[in-house]
Amino acid sequence: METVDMDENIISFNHVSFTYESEEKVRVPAVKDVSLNIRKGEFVAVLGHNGSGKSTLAKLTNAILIPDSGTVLVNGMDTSDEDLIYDIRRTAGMVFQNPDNQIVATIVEEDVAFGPENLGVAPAEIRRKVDTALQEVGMYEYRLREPHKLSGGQKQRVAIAGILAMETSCIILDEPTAMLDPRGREEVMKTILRLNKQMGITVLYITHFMDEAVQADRVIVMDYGSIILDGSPREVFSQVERIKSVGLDVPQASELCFLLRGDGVDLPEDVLNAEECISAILTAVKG
Amino acid sequence: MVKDITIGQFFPGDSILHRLDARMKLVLTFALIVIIFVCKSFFSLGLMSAFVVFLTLISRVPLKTILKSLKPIVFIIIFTAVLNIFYTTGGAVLAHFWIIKITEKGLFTALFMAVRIICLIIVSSLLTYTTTPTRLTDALERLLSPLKILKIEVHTIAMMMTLALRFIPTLIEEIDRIMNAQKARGADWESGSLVSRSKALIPVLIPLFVSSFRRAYELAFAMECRCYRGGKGRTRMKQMKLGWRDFAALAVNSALLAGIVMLNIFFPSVIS
Amino acid sequence: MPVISTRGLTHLYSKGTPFEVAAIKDINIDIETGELVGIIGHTGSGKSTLIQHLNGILKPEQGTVLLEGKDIWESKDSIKAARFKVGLCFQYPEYQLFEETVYKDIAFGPKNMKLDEDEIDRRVHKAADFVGLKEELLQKSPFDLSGGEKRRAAIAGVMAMEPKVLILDEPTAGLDPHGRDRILRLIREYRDNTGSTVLLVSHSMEDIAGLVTKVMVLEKSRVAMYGTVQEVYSRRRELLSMGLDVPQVTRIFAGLRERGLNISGDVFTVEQGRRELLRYLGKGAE
Repeated sequence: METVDMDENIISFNHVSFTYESEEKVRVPAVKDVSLNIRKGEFVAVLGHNGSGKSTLAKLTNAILIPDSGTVLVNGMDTSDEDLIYDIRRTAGMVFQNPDNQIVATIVEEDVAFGPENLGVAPAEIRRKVDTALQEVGMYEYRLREPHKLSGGQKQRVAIAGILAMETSCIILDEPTAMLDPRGREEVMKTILRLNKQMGITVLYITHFMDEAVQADRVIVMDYGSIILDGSPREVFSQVERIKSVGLDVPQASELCFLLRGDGVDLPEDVLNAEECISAILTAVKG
Repeated sequence: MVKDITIGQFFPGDSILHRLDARMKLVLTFALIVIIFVCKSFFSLGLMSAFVVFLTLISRVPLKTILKSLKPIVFIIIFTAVLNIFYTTGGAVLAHFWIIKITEKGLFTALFMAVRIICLIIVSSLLTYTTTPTRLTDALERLLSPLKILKIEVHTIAMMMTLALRFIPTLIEEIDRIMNAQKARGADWESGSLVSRSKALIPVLIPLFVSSFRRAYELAFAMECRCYRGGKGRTRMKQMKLGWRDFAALAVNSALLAGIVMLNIFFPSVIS
Repeated sequence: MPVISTRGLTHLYSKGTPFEVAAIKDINIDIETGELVGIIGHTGSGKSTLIQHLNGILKPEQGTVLLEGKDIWESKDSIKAARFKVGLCFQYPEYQLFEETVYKDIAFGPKNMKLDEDEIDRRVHKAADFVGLKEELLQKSPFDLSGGEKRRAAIAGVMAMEPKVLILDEPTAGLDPHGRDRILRLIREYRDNTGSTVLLVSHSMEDIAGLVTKVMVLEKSRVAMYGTVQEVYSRRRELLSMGLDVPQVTRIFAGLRERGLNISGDVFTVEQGRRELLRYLGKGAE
């Protein structure tokens, strides 16, 4: 058994496998022998097509699902230990894809208070945490509003505030922007980046949007239950062919350079954005 | 279209009524409703009506909104009044055509009933206008908590009520969406027999049910992930504490009851 | 004659209240038969309201909607016909599926059109086949399908009405890149095969660049632009002021021009970009 450095890693997967049983009693392996460590303060994006196992991975992290084999440790706590589930979820909070199906109260601030209330926090403390959380996500002015009147992006920010109020060290977001419009996606991304950079909260961000993954510290690409790529955005997105073969997008800049390299133009492999692409092409043209 | 239904909508504000403890409000509303029916004379009903007007004024809820709450039951009021005018007999006869007799008692009873119903609706509406649904269900939960002795899951019931209230607007939006999608494929709820029109509801109800189950499923996970374990060990951010205002309200209500009983005794009217 | 037009189309929300807002204001458009139009605009720009007027789900406050030159609100019959001639597929259409079998659900539209059994059967099979739903799936319950299959079944349900104008509101919402590409390809094929007019509401300038014949940009309840991809996408400054932007590859080539390269700025897809640069370098594309 590998030893886990409990100070550094907040989430550890150790040879984890999980299989679903589908409608026709067919066993579908969703996660196959995955091992991975996430350090405190990291912003990790998990990218994959539908069915790649990325959502399953997220649900294994906070004990919604228990591995069939292998162990998942959250701050050293084993998720298969029923007695620890409560503490695990106080460490790792989760934001789901459907903004509506995670809001329980009829008023924004009361929903954010739901988590701390469940934890038995003292009332005055809850008030303080709720106000702080709402300010952190920029929704303080909306605290007395009804959730159904908010936009998708605003609802997701309220959901994030609900987790913040529980003062978890880690937030897992399972495709939080899949149902949002571009503005909403931007709101959520900006909020989460700020929370990670300024408050040091570890972020595990599941998505299929390449332009979101590109903003993370580390990108993990999954395909049919296995991790096929794991590295910085630059390292990962330079593997244009690989990424496209698993049904994902790469930035247009990367793809353009990739195709031109195939045509014999001398361009670097790790172009990620428009500026880099322009400079690279200018260099190639002059040379 | 469907979105315009407001069910006991909360009207944000800072009036005295808004600030009263929800439990006291619930109890006093109930008491007021009883008192409305205790009124047996013009004067006592008059006092009651004046009190209701007073409550409306201090709630600072606009008159237009109050009147909106009466809209759905205008028909009932008129219907009840008409029934009483024609069928309740007693006292002097005021008009007489054919077999229909309109008597003094009939007219007064009609008036009484109408005023009573209006007072009742306004008092109940004031409760929901000045109290958030969450506080109402909280108050209910706390008031009913002694029932735990009878093994009744008071907290679970209260949680269910809160969730229902939370999701009513969302479900209404969803109905709208589903109906529009079916309309775009030619579904028609306007023409045809009653049977065919009811059948036309199936394409709306089935998807609604299916999605509601999925919602419930996802919601349950979300709640568990926020460490929900039922009512055990839960605290509440918004505390309920009885303050001087609540006791003042109680005193005022008691005085009202006393006043009405007195007026009943000393100024009885035709309708006792 | 344009297949669908509007004249002075206006729709108000919360009319008569202090919250009255024009969802769409004085819209005048003419769409020719066979066009594949991409409709772009932010949430609140009026896109959804506009398309719901085209098949009569919403009634105009002012102005008219003309289908093949005739006002769709002329009579009860004309509005009924409009529902079937203009097929509108809403966002997340899979949430409306309700029938016992996929077959019956796709047949819902044609059935409401009062077509005979054989015709309904032909259309259901044609539509299902077109969207790639296998024969076996037709007898299953729609609730047993995967997410992608449900979406395609819902789209087939609208295609089975064989509308003259097919409108799809963000048909790729919630899909991963593979699913998205599949649906967009489907839409292109549909229009190429049937010659119908197709309107596609989208959020992504990049997605529609290589796909559509015309782009309509809606902003603050009005039509801000309507033209070919080249005409619209070359107005970058205006697009930016509306909170929209051009595809990354377009920005790259604009940047190259700014740095002095004598290269075309009419590049809207990666493939176009590749060809243009190779042309510039004197190499042919393989």
